This record gives sequence, C-alpha cells and structure tokens, in this order.
Amino acid sequence: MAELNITESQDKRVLMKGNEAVGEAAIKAGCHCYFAYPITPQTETPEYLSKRMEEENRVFIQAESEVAAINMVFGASAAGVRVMTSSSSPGISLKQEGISYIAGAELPCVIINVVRGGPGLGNIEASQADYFQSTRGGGHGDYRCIVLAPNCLQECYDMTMNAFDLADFYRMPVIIQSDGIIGQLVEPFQMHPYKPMFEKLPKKDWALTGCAGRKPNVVRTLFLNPPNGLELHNRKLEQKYNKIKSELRWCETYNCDNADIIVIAYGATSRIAKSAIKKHNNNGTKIGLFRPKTLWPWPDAELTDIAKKNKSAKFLVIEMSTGQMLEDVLLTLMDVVPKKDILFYGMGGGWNPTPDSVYKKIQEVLKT
Amino acid sequence: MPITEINMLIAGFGGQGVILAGNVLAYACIDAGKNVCAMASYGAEVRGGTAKALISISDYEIDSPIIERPNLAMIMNAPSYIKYIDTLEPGSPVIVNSSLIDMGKIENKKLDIIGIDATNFAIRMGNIRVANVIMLGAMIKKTNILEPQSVVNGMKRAFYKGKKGLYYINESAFTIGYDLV
Repeated sequence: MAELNITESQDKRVLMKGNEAVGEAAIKAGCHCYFAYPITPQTETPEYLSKRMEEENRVFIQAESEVAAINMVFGASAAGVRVMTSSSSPGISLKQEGISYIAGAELPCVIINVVRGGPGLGNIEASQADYFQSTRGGGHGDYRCIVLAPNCLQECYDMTMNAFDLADFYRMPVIIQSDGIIGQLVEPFQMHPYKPMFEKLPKKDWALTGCAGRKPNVVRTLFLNPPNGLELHNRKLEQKYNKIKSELRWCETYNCDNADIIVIAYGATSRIAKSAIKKHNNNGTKIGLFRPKTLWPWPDAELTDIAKKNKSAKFLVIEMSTGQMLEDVLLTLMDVVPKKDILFYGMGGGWNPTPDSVYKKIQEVLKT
Repeated sequence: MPITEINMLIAGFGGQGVILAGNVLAYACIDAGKNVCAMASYGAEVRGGTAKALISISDYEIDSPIIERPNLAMIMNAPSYIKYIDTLEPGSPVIVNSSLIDMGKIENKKLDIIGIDATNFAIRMGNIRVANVIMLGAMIKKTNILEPQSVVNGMKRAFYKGKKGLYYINESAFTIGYDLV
C-alpha cells in the first residue's frame, strides 16, 4: 500500500451518540446547571456532561436519586438559570412529583427522557410507552409539558437547543422524548453554534435572585381559597396551553399527496417505517408518512388537512407501545375518517419493529 | 463492492475493540462524505461476552438504523461467528479472525469468507488490542468500500482524543491488514 498522510477533512460533521449530542446542545444553549442520576439507556448524557460542565465552569451534580435531581432543577430554575435533567422511564416516573410542582410554579426547565421498556423496571431496550406520561402531564394536576420527539442526531441537537428557548418563552417544562435507539445511535451531524428561536425572550423578573431594592418574589404552587386562588391559576395555565396549541405544532410529511396509506409514526419508529415505505413505493404503491415532531401539542390540524385531501386513504399508526399515540390520532380524525380505516401496529415490552415487519404490515393493509 | 447500501456487522468479545472499529469506520465515512449510522449493543453486557456494532453506510439518506440482514461482516471470535453467521445475506463478504476461529471447521459455502490471522499479528506488533484495525485494513482491501486514505483520516479523529500514540500503532496495524489480503 502506498504511504498515506493525514489530510484535513472537508466534511465538518461531528460524530456522537444521541445522548451526547443532547448534552453538547445543552452546553451550547447556556445550560448552567445539570442534575441527574445514571440509568441505561441515557447514562452517556451525565457521563458526557460530567466532563463538559466542569470544562465550562458550570454546575454538574450526580444527585443521590432522581427525586433529588428534579428538586434541584426546581431550585435552580426558580433562581433564574437554564437547567436540565435527564433520565430514562423509571427515573422519569420518580421525577413526576417535581415536574408537577415546576409546571405549577410556571418555571422553565428541560427534561430528557430516553424511553425504555416498562412498566416497572421493564427492560433496557427502546420503547415509546411513555407517550401518555409525557403528553398528559404525568404528575398530578391539570398541566401539560411541551414534548419534542427527535428522530435523528441533528434533531437531538437542534431540539435540545429549542427546548431551552421554548421553556423560557412559555415558562414551563419542556420534555425531549428520545428512546433507547435514538439515544444510543451514532450518526454524524452539524454542530452549529446556538441559534436562538426567538428574537427576544421575556425577562426573568420572577426569579429569586435576592430582593435588594425590590419586593421579594414568591415562587409557589400552593393556592388556597378557591375559587379566586387555584381556579384562577388553572385558568391562566389553560390559556397558556391553548396559546401553545395554536402556535407550536411541528410535523414532517413525506409523500402524503394522493397516498393510499398514510403511516403515522414518530422517533426511531418513523425511520424504520420510512425504510419500509420507500421499498413499497419503489414497487409503484403510494404510501405516505406523517411524523409528529411535537407530541404535545399534537399536530392535529396538519393531520386533519391531510385526511381531507386524501379521502380514501387508510391510516396506519406504528408505535413501540400497545397504542398510545393511536388515541390522539383517533381523536384527531374522528370526524374525518371512518374508525375502521385507522389501523394500528405495535407492541410493548421494549420491542422495535423492523423494516421487514412494517413492510409486511403495509402489505396486509393494502390487501384489505 | 457493487452494493448501494452497506449494512455491516462487527462482532467479537467485549474488549476486542468492536465498537471502536465501528467508530473508526464511521469517522472514515464522514471523511469520504458518505452517510453513516452506527448502533452498538448496550446495557447488560459483560466483559468477555459478545459485543456487536451494526453500521449502515450509504450515499443516500439512511432511514432505518435497525439492520436485519447485514451484507458485510467482520467477526472477531468463535462465539460471535456461531451467533451471527446465519443472519448474513447470502454472498456477503465476511472477514473472520482466524487466530480465534478454526477455519477448518467453517463450511459455509453461501458466504465469501476470508480468514485473517489478526490477533497473532497484533501480538507480534506488541499490542493485542490492534487486531480490530488489522481486520479493518483487510476488510477495506477486500471490499473497496472506502479509500484507505479516508480510514486513516478517520483513525486520526478516533484516536487523537488524548491518546495520540495509539494512532501510530493503529496506522501500522491498518497497513498490515490491508496488505494481508
């Protein structure tokens, strides 16, 4: 073999695991504090940040438990800094009380959930069975979290940055719902500098920064004396959530015009489905893909539009669960598509579909 | 190699550098301007148990990160050979570590198998851990999926994170593997 010298690569993409990309994005977005407890399959995020946060002279604490970590997030957020925690399903369950308090106190924070199989300790394989928990609040009380679902490393990186902006803009927790596949995936992506989503973010004049020269701020979730206390607070939250529903619905569509079948999937499942769809379309069929990128708010208007344009299309929901996002699809399409035309393919237990199994399922649907 | 999308399996026991070989290859793909996507086994793994990395390489967008039937493989030990050999597409090139896998017992006629005495060469080089890169060199020569220059650039990025000395021995290992085929 001829002698080889190292040459400078023209391609500036970097290579990382999904869990590490999330960590680097947090650094770039100015995350000042990170508190977490290790759990497979998300441990690369605390591992990565244990080095990087120190290099950047920021705060990294491996808490004694998930419950402690989320309450540290509560405190740091109340002090007005950008803060993040991460975990996987059982750990996120432990954090729910804290998330409810943070949502009630209208504080911004970012929570990464690298979903694994459940219930209970379940297993360590990829899963999407935390959809209900993420999109329906998860803890007690009438609250929501913005939920973003990346399906590649570029989105892990970009959406984590977006999550900090959205959290500050709306003053609420934002969840990145990744899974065991996306978190462990190694893939190149462009590591661009932080790009703010908003020209200007609201000032954090509510933060507990010491009250010299001003009235003390109070961060609280206890509102006694109904109806003027808690009822008003919940109505205020409701208004905020309705505003977000009208402003923030992200989705990706692929090949949906005049499609016979529209597959609906998010996260890792959407990529597996897309492989199968391309294989079918090479044989002359017309299959489309609808991928929600925000799980809450769910992109209902966008899916309804597609259903109205494709009157005879069938809809196939694919999830790594026994049917959770399926309920959002049914609610969205109940006035537009007959229920018999909304089909489901999925399993629980840390199972992932394969391009072949999705291909066969689509074939079955085409025959009906 | 006349295939548009490479779905590669690298398997061996934990500690043989299976995941690292995957990372070197992924860096090499970035250098070559290709798309790449790698998944390693994770979680309940033990030292000495089987480890595997699955790597998709394509000129096009890579959709599914899940590989069902690899069409190229590098197999570093006998338990991995037994475990994964039947998952490969017929006709796939397979580079096996003949230091640890008895070539006399291999009777698979559906695959294009070559044996590389990688672990023994690595021991002679003074570092048993470079067997993975010797295999990688042989694989690149056998399949031509990437320019050797790209792999060398990839090794620079994979090994330069604070362990520059490792780069030089691995570059030699790559060249030895390349010339073995």
